[in-house]
Amino acid sequence: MYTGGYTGKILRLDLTNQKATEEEVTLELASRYMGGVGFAFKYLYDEFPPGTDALDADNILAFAVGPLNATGSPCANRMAVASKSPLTNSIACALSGGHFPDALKQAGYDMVLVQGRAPKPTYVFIADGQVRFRSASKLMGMQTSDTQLFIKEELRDPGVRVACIGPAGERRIPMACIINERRAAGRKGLGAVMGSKNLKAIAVRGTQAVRIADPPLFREKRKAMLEAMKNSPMLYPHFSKAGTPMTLDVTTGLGILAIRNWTETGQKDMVPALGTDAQDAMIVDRAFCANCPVGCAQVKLVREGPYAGFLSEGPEFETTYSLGSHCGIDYLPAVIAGDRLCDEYGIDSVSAGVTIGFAMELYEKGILTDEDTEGLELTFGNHRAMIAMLHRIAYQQGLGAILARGTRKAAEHFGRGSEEYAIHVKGLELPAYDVRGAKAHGLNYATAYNGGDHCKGYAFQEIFDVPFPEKVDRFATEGKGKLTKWNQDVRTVNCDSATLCGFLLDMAVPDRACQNTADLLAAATGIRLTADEVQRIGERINNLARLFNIREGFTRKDDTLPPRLMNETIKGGASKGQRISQAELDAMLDEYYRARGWDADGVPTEAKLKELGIHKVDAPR
Amino acid sequence: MRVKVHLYSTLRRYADGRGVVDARGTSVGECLEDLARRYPRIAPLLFDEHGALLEKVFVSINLESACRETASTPVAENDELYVILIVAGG
Repeated sequence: MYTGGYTGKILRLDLTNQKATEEEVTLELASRYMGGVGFAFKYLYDEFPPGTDALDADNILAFAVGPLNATGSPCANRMAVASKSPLTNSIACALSGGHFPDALKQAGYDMVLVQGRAPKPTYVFIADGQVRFRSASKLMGMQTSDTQLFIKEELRDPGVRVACIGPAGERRIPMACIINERRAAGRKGLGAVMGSKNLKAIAVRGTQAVRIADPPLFREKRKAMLEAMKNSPMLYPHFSKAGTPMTLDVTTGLGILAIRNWTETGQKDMVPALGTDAQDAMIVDRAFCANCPVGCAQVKLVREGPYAGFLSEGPEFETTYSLGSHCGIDYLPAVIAGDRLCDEYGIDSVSAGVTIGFAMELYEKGILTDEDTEGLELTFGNHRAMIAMLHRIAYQQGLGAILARGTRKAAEHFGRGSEEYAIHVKGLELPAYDVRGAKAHGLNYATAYNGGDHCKGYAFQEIFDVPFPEKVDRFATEGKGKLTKWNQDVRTVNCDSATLCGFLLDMAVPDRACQNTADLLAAATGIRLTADEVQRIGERINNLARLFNIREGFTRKDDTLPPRLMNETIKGGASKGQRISQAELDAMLDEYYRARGWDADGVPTEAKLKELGIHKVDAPR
Repeated sequence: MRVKVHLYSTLRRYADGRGVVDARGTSVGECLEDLARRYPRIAPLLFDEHGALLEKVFVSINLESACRETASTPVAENDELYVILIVAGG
């Protein structure tokens, strides 16, 4: 049995009947699924009634931490929030950092499973194993900062940590997110699932220490990881100071920063307006997730102009793209303001920005008119229109009510050829990297279990020239299937299950991520796995996700890319002339399915499932 | 040849806060060496102890270079070099 790391308990919240029960984390679950998304997906696969709508009371919402949370391991401070997504209708997972995840662990639980629907607006307070269902009637309508503050005041406890939804989640908007502190489980509309359960917030107070199986060994392995972080030429000297906005500079250099709904990638240098130096000028403070010495998050303040007074922990690179370059906006104060508003409304800044940029193109093409926008001049570059539209999306007003459904549904609604301009995969709006110039990154967008999600299989070999497991040519397609499987499995287990920060993987231990996790896991829990066995857990989880999606009706045809990426080339810059044609995508998919041990339709074979020890479930147990 | 060098990522801090500087040389390497002579603090961020360009330095000419330029790549008059530190994240 494991002798540390885990609390050993899963909390089930039956909101319908206002009941809380506990069950054990078995050794089998821990050793085969590790934690985080692994735990969440195992329960979702086993218990979710196939065909259930994402906003139905029978959907399950999981909050799962990993075996290293709150152990003193640096950078192991994240949680996986998982469910069936109302945006993609697939299984989905969003990660969040900050302090709530560790607090949940210290409150006594490795995972919280939220089921049913509360009869009235509710928030749940978990304090060192004690669970109370409390009325959220006063909180309804509050934005997320006020919700967190109000709960702390009501509980008379400033040390409480809160994960909550804003007005967007209350309205079950498919791009609604869950906010804790100023962090987000941002993507795939999991805030809408929470809202559909009449659950406004979860508050936690945790004071319990997490046991360590072998303290001297843990100190040794922790020291080794800290040494690797210190030796990274990038982590402390640069990334710690400048954060993810540095990636805007890099993607500009590579000619893959998407601009104006992916029509002008590579044709404009957005760095002077939105890059590292522009963002540095706005920094007032750094923010740190629990037990992380890096502190890559930056708090920025707009001091003058029409957005004076807006403060945000961000924008991160992705938001700088979605509310900035993607909308043709080169005015950073507007992006900061938009970032803060997305946090307060509780909407995914990426989905919101990409959908607004899509609407901008439709407006400029005349598919949307002034009548549709109620007089709002929704042109590329109009930051006031972007800000106004965020509000309309969050509160489902006018055109905002249609855009709130996401790009895919909005395109279906508008018709008139607008599907040709929609930038999403499986309904999830695409992140910043124009993958016509980075083909493995693109294959990940096409195949990731919850739609176009760079975090699920980040191809740092192509973006940052990291020569591990091999050096690659970002424009080549051969070998990218095998590489994508590797990236997805490594990231799923190390980042989403062990819940170690992805930036640690990218910059400190890219060549030994699984061994690093194996070392820390053995020391913290007593569970001894090889690096290969750790990676196998990632593979197991990705196969489980695939089975869930197939059960929900997904097929090979859903592993695709937007028409623009397949039919149009990048028109300027370092990736000029590149696209991913259907033939190229098919070839990469074939290679990817073979590497995964799936058949030509992308279905896991019986042999693969047997190898991974997965038993197919057609109905909930 | 006279070129403009754009310093991206966090490099501006090592060139007295200047984001765009002039440099001279016939190749990428010569231009960056010229830059390093004028701003010595930037040298260790660009070159290793043997004078070779560091792996983490991505140099693009006119933002059109599909992959990093090497030190020996020739430059033309009025070319614009973009020097970017390759960092992962986001």
